[in-house]
Amino acid sequence: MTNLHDLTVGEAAAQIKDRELSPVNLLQAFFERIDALEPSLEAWMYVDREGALGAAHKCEEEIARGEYKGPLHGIPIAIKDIFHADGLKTTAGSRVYEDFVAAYDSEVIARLREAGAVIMGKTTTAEFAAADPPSTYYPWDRERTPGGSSTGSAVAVSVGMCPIAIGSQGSASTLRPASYNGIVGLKATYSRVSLYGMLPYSFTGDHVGILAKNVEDAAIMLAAVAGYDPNDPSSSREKVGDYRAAALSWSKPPRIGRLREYFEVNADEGVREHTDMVVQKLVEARAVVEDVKLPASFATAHAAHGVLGRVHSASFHHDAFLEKTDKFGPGKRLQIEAGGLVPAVRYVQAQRLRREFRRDMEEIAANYDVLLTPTTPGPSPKTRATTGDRRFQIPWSYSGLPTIAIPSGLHPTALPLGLQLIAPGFAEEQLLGVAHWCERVLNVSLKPPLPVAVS
Amino acid sequence: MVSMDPKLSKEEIVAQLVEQAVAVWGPERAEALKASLEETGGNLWLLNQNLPRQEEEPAFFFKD
Repeated sequence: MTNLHDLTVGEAAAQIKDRELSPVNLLQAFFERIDALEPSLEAWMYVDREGALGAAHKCEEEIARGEYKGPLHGIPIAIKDIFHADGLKTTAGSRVYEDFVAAYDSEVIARLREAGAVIMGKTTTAEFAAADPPSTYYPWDRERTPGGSSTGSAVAVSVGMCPIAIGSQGSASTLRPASYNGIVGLKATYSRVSLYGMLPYSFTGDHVGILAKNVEDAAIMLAAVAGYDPNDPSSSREKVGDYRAAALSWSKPPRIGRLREYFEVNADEGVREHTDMVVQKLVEARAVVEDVKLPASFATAHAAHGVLGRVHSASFHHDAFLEKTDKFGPGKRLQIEAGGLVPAVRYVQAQRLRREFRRDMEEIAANYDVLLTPTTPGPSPKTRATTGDRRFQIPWSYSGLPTIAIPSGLHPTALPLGLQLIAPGFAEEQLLGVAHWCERVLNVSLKPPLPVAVS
Repeated sequence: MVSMDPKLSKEEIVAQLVEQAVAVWGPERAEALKASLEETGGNLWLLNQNLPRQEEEPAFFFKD
């Protein structure tokens, strides 16, 4: 029999709907898992046991009355600690916000509560979703980084301390930790999911992220949180799809554009060989894979993204930085101080280059169902001082195109690797459909070598 | 202020950023910022060499 903490959201939801599984019992199973593993992993800022238990009891009563709300009803969810939840602390992993209690729900949390989800508490993050890493340990190797900045969310999902989690991505903060931890990471098109009530890293680069055990679960979550929000000036009115149905119903072998230049040139040999092997499997399953050239505008993507991130950090934190300079961590401090020196003309130029790159990539992506790269240049690096290499995600956070990482197997170092798929803007149904097709073909399930010893 | 002259080398842009950092954040912080300013200067130099098409408008939010 499957342990409750190993159930996917889809599996748990089916049992809850049929009243074979109590939301309270499901939550308790995750609490037990947290009790066993959290001391050695440090993935949570805090667990709101009282609030979560109250919500789970409420779900149980609603379902007993026949008021079933859908596949997130009664499902426990972890939230990266940069999203406001009414009455709970939002620290953003920073001493600047150490005592800050939110007075309202972020739009993501409001929509999750509306869908009947149980908010378990907050997971660790690099400070303000960038720079200085949290203390969280990597379950696969305690001397390496678990990735970030959605560090706690990725680790909590990977070891079964929660079934699914919310993260964010301004540079690489969802897909990279997902890949390091052997799970699925999804970010939809920029403006698809409201950023209202989320502390920003970059106003034009931030995305809400989803960390899940499989593609179906990620699709379920996206359907709950996507859609127009008048409180977010970047929010799109593009129609929200039936993402779960789109993921599960995709059956035709996809047409895939493989981005070798830059991505495979900068990957280590183990990643290159692994990617060749994975692509071969997809081709054997009748996918059509063609090499694709990057546009000239790719040349400035990382530089322009770096300029935008630093300027946005300097802008958002300006007042707090002048008042509480010493409370900012060293990495964040450098971003803010350097960002304050960038000429406004170059900032706007970076935004113009961003638009150019987005349009160029849209044209290329339109020829395929998805584009493909390895998710990371290598496995998790042997350091806890950084959150790893973010280069392979930056072009897609910068351009806002939707991306997903799925686990694809192990590096020669026996650490997880993933595939990154990229789709045209607002083509999330296509992205999830192809990702689910690839997931079925590759049939990879990665679990860290638990139990984790406390050092 | 950092010049926008496209003929400036990366080293000249970094030197201008360091000078500005000393004025804004003080000499001690300017020294601590050295690596970050070198990266930022490299980014600005690359942008200087790759100006966007003249008719290109910025699009802060991609809504459709």
